[in-house]
Amino acid sequence: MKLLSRSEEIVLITILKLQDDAYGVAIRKKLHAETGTLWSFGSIYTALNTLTQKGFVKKSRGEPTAERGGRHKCLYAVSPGGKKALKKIKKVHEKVWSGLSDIALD
Amino acid sequence: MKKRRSENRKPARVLEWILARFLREDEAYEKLGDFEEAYREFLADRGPLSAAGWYLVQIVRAVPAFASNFYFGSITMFKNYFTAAVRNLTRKKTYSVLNILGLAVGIAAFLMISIYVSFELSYDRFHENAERIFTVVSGGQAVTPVPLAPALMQEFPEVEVATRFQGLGQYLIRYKEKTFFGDRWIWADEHFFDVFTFPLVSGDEHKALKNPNSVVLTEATAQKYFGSENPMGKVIQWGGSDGERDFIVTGVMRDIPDNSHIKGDIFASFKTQTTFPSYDPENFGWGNYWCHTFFLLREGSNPQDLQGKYSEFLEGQTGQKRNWDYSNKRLTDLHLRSVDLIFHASPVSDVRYIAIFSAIALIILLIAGVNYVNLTTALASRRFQEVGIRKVVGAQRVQLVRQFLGESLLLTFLALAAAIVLAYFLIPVFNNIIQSDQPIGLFRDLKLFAALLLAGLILGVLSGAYPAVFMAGFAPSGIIKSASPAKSKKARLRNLLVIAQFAISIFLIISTLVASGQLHFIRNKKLGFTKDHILVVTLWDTNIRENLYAVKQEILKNPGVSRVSVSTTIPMKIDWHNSFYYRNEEDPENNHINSHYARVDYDFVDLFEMEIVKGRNFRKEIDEGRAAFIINEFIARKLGWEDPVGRAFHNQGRTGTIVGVVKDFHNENMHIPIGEVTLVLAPDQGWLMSVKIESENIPRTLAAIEKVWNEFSGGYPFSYEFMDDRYDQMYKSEIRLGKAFNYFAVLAVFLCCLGLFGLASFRVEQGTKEIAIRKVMGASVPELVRMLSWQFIKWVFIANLLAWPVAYYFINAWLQSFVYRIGIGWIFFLTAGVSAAAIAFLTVIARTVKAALANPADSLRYE
Repeated sequence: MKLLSRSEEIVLITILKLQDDAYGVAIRKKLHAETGTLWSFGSIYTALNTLTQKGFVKKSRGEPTAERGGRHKCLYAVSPGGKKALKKIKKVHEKVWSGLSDIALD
Repeated sequence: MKKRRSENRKPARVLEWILARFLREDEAYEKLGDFEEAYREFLADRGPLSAAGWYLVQIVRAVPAFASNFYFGSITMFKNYFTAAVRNLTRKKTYSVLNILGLAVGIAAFLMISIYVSFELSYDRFHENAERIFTVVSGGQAVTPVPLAPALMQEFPEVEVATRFQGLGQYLIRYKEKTFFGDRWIWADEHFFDVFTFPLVSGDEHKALKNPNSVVLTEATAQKYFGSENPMGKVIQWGGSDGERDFIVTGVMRDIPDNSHIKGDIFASFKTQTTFPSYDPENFGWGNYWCHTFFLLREGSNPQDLQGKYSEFLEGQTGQKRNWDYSNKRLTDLHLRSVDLIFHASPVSDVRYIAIFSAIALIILLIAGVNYVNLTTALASRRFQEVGIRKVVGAQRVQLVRQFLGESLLLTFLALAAAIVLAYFLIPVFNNIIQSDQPIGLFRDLKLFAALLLAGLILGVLSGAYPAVFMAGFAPSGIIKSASPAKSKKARLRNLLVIAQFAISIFLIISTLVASGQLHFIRNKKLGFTKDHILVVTLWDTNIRENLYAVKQEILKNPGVSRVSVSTTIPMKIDWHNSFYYRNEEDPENNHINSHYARVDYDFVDLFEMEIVKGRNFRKEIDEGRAAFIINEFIARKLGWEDPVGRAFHNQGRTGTIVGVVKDFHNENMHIPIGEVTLVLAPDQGWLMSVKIESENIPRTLAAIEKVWNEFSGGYPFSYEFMDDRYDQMYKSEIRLGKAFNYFAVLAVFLCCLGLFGLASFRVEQGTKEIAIRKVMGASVPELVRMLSWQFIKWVFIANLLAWPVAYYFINAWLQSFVYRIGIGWIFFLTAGVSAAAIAFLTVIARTVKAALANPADSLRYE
């Protein structure tokens, strides 16, 4: 199985953390808070699209809100396949990083 | 207040709408929501202005994704239509081939004619100041006296610069050991390059032709003479009427474009002529018309005003008070709008013929387009079910129109490709038809080529648009039931189109018949002289002219030669005129007659087998050394002279007697009535040698004459023309028109038949069951054939009735331009009508007979 890309990985983790309220604007806010950069909608949608296509996230319809001009939210949730992929990439990260002390990076 | 605020918190409607256009349909909903929410937050944080700005940025960012979506989306769409179209084309091979072939032939013809027409129209437009260049014409001639150009420049501030040139000659050119002949030699004065845009590659445009004995060569000529050597400063020897002379090359000019009225290879300084031993100031005065005058009009001046001052100006210059018929003509009008002038610098075309050619091109294209529309609409009925089902399934009208347009575009593209291939192979044939001085190449003007392809494309869309809209407009409920809706109405339009096609074809056939009838008449009419088996040799060579008598004797020694005559012109082209004076007792004031004349020798009348009706031919024993004239019957009649023989005639200071009267003969082409003609005896002044030869062993005779020529000539190669070729040459544009009509009439008929064949096949196919049932009920084969064919033949008859009056009108107008012409008989119309009907019948019958003969059992089992 191919590994997730960095942005896909981050978006996926964010969705997992947001639990039931993972939709476009919320994801963007959370990303801003955690990474310190303001992601463009375009880059988030791109990641979301590929994740949906790969079957790592599932789309569902949330309740409409006034802020959205009366439109429904489109909620994302991580699928079992997505969780598996996250586990795998986490393992890969740990393995790759292991044995490298912080001093070596200086 | 509060409500308004919340209203204001939505992004602007327009922006939202625009953004929605850019998003994919299935995603727009979600994204617009996200954007609106983010917008509101932005609004709360930073205020409305930056929020709107942010929203705008989002729109701009969406563009690339939108563009790529659109692109791939339309590719898929196109692919779908393409597949559908290809399937459709291959399912109906016959019709597809008919359609493509018809369109291809039509477009190919159109393409070639357009290239030719645009070439003719482009004449002389390459000059920088083309719109300001004028030429002066005088009394129906393109030539003027020599002093005109400098005088114009001096007298009129409106004239920026004026130039003159003259050139009809070809001379022998020597460079070292090499000799060259056949390059066009032009005498041009020093302002030549100031008026015309003929850029010099080397040399100074203002000085190159200033000094005597200097020449400017075109690049091609320079290359021919000097090869890779630098031509500047080289000396060439020129063998003209005044013996050999040296010329220094002072400039090399770029080759003259094909579409230039002024053609030449070598331009020599005009002044050189004044240094010749034979220089006669009289020839260079106001009384002699032999040089072309062009001038550049100052910006903002009116050529008409200038023209108004000519009479006074010429009176002042010459001191003569008479009707000075001088006028200006635009350089850009010279090639196409001056057929009425004589003595052109190079052959001209007639804008009327260009118009006719353009009309033919459009007609052919129209016929091809009509075929296409007819066949497609007819075939549409077979696709009712397809359209119906597509509609029921949810296809929108626009989608259907797009699909059908796609099909017609595919077909047009195929036809275009085929047309280019066809045109590529047919262009030599076309060049033969138009008999242009310069054969045109298919890829001469690529810009035009691109425009034509675009035009072909538009034709495809247009001829596809009607069937597309027509088919997409069916109501699905009616279609599914398979009845063809609105059939009669559409069929009527089809019928009208076919009738129009045939009317055009019949018109072209009639024109062809009459044109070839008139040409046959011209070629075979008794001219009053003979033109068969006569060689015409132009005596460029001074050595030959000086030894005329000996040359004639030598040539006559050949058994294949029966007579030799030297004159200034030949009988069919006696178009120079001069005044001849006579004694008029009754009215001494009125004592001259303007007559065309030719200077001839003793053998002229006999060689051309002209008939002397009174008096006698010139005879050496009697007439040598004195002035003698032969007039034609026309003059005798005009002057009312019962017996002109022995009367005195004066011409150019010479007094002589009329020795005979020649029977009227055609001294010019058939457009012009026979007029006054005087033959002036001048045995040693001619420069055209006519040689009457026997019809056997022509090559041997030619070789013998050439041998004599080479013995006497100063190096000029022997060249000749046959007189009957020259005669045909006079009717070049008529012959060309006749040929064009011939070919295009055939083409039009072919295209009509193609269309008719398609419609007939369709009718037969549609009526398969009907035919079978009729047969079962006892209809005979001839009856069935008649039933199936009659409707088509009927159209042709109606087309005849439409075409005849129109054809009569145009043909009559054309024939009126000939003084000597054939009458328009009914036979032309009948022949055209009957042959069109016959061709149509043969086309249709091929299909109908087959259908009528078919076994009804097969057809009835068919569904």
